[in-house]
Amino acid sequence: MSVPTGSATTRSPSRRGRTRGAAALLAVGLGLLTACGDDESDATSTPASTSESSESSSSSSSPARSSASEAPQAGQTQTLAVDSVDFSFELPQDTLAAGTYEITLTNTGNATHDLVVERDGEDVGKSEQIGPGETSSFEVTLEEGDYVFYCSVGNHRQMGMEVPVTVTA
Amino acid sequence: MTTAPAHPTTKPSRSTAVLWALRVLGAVLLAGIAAIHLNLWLDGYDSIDVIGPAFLLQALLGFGGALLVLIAPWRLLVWAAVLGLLFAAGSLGALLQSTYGVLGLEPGMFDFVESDVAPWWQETFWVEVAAIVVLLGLTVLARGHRRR
Repeated sequence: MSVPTGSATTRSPSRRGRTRGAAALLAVGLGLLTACGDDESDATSTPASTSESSESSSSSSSPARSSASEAPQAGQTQTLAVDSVDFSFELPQDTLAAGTYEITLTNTGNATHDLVVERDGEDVGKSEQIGPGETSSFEVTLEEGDYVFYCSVGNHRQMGMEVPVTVTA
Repeated sequence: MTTAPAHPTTKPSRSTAVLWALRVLGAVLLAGIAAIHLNLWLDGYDSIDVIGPAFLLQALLGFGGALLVLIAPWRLLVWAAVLGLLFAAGSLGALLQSTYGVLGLEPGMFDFVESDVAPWWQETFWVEVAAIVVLLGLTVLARGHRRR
């Protein structure tokens, strides 16, 4: 099940095309001004296969999306795949069984995102901030209750990158 | 004996009026760039490494540049306009680099990639483009004005 959240923004292709065209023209004439970004840009283009959060033991490019819906076994870590797009999350389901999860965030959008697991206003788990095409995994134990998965980058949460998740016993 | 004033007063020329219009417009646009970045900084960008402080710095420089363009004496106006122009162009270059990448570079700055569907992206783009156009015009006219 896919759970698109928030107010995912769409734009008309013509507007995007005009902007991209104007941007490309200006970029050519503004070569002097781009030097500020060259050193750092490489860091954002790390392919998914090499992006791994410090909490992570996995950076699989094809996470087991269905495992979260299987019956949990005591003491077993389950996996949960979450996709971030601009600007919403997509996860297999918004109701999970209590247990320990390895959550793998895959950034399929065009901007930098992360995933924070919040309960009662407190962050209980967090991925790294990752660029487009990258993945990051982290482990978190979810107890019965209400959680919110959100993106802590900039104002992304206010833009709709948050989804309520219910954890059942 | 009567003496003529050393600098006879004249009505403001048309070019002076145009210069004043460009000064005001340029200052408004620079302040607009500053206001957008301050708004974004207050709206969550402050938590982003490097980008957060950079946005705050842009806000300060933008407001300072707007003031400078407004109050600079005529003989220094060209330099104020050039500084404002460089600031606006640098801001636009950073926006494009962080979103699309330019000149073959990968998109992003300081491990942060922006999206052109993010709030204020379009407004930022067009205000910065307008600022570049206006301040470029001001630079050229101010240079000619200084030579007279």
